[in-house]
Amino acid sequence: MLAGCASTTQPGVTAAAPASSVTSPEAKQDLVRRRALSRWDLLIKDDMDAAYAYLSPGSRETTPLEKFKKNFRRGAFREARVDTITCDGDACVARIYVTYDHPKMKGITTPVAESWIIDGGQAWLVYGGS
Amino acid sequence: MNTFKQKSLYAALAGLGALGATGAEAVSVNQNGLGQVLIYPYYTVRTVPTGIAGTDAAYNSLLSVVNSTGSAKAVKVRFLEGKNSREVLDFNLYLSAKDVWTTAIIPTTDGAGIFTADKSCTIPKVSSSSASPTTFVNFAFTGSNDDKGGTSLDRTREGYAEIIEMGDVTGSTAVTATHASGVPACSESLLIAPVAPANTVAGTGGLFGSMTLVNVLKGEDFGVDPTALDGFSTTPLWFDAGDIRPTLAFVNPKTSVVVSGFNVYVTPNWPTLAPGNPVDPVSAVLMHNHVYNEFVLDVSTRSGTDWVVTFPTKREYVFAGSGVAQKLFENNFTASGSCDTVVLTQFDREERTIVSQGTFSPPPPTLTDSLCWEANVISYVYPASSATPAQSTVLGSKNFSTVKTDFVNGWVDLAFPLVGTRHQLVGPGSTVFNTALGTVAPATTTTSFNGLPVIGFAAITFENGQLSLGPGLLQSNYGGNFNHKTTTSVAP
Repeated sequence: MLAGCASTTQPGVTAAAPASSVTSPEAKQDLVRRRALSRWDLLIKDDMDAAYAYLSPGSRETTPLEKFKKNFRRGAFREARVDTITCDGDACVARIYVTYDHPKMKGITTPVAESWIIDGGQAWLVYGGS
Repeated sequence: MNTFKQKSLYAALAGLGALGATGAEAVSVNQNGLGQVLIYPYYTVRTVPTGIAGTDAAYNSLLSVVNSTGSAKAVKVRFLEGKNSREVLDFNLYLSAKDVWTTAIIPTTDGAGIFTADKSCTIPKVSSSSASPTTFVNFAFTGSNDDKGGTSLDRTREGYAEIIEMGDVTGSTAVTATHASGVPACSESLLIAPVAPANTVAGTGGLFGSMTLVNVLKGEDFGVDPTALDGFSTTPLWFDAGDIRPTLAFVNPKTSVVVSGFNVYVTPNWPTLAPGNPVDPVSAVLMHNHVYNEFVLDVSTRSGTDWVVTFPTKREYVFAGSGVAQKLFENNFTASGSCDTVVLTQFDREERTIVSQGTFSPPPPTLTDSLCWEANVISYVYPASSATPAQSTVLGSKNFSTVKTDFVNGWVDLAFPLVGTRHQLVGPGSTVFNTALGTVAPATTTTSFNGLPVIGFAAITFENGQLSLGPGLLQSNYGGNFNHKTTTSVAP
């Protein structure tokens, strides 16, 4: 479902330039690392349309942009850094530390595990909204 | 209800005072939430699915403690892992008058740790960086302390916390702990021996606090109040930061006050030598023979329910190894835990009922239900034919039992039945004040408190996802925390 889907023309989606060579494990990890960090930078800047473009085409089919926006705690996060990337073939898990503010305490850093898939020379976030 | 109980207690103590009893110098649960000791029933940094496929995220637990009094205080802050209550981090905290201290328990690569943005003095200093927190340690369950419950730091990822007032601090210790323009001096030499203990007098209580279990990616946030013990100590209990004392066993004098119905039991002179245990007065005030709470598993709201059931004094009775526990609890602690028999009776909202035997999954050989840890989670699963989850469904606990049910909602009576001499704490005689009649009964020979010393709550989620609201969508996930309701059974 996720792999091999054609890119969509939904609002908020811009064409992502395929990465050059992503055949080696190191290249896959590096690609996911850059894409995961870039997506979180967009989320923190509240550029939800651009962040939505990082979802895999299959994920975008099941999660419209409006639903994606509502699923996220906008304004809660202030920073993100990638900890580790582990890949099994083209399926990768990105462990990311995000920092958020809570009414009781500010600047809390906590890990998030995201599933990414490499397809067509690009890394895409696997996402299924509730 | 609470106000009534508290007034009853005061009336009882006033009456006993007139008779020369010393009930005012006795440990009790303060239903108004203030005390010398705060027991936070649960913390967790476990990772759970967020409801968004492909994304898992960890809980964080945010603890606060407030000094409501006009005196500066020294308190011991202690975090204990949930299997066998082994300490994972202790330190000394100094609160100036009217001060608040907060900390976040967050996951690390292999365990958990804390950091604080607060300025209050701690010995040793707690990290102020969430990127490099002060980490929880496994020293109390590795090497010669190995209790066979596992040596991994993963054990530190869930448990409970306690804060014990060591005393009011005066003189130079109070001055250096007191904030000036928002920041205390925290001169270390004034916060350690020999100066700090010399400046410490008996505590006056007035502590309160809260714990927030938050999963920011999942959009869930549970607020939990600690259980407050008042009248814990009439003497200062200052110990160095590197010392695991004081514990709940340091309660003094060894007198408890328990309210059961209209009766107030004042029980002095709890023995400290076997068959007594120094922690008995604290156990007495936490003893309950039934725990009641609700569960909600409605499919339409994708609800889940986890109960936290914590035994804060169990560690004083249960030791590593096989065989029976010293008293009160049934078994010592082995690799599979320290199990106590419980009986669960499920009721749905239409009064249909199931008495559970062997409900927990996986079932023990005896086909009776049992709770085997010190901070337990009971996770409710619908329908009964469901597979057993790998972790509890709401809080992600790994110290959990599963109750599979075909009721989508209702309530459960969790009972601690008498098993031989276990699940009963027999203490010295009590003076009994009846608040309905205004009478004081002569002292009994012995007093039996039935059940187990227990605290906890139910965490219930309602995940409606997104509801249509006019032209837009509204995120509609909720989490609610509900303290357990209990019965207290005392027999002269």
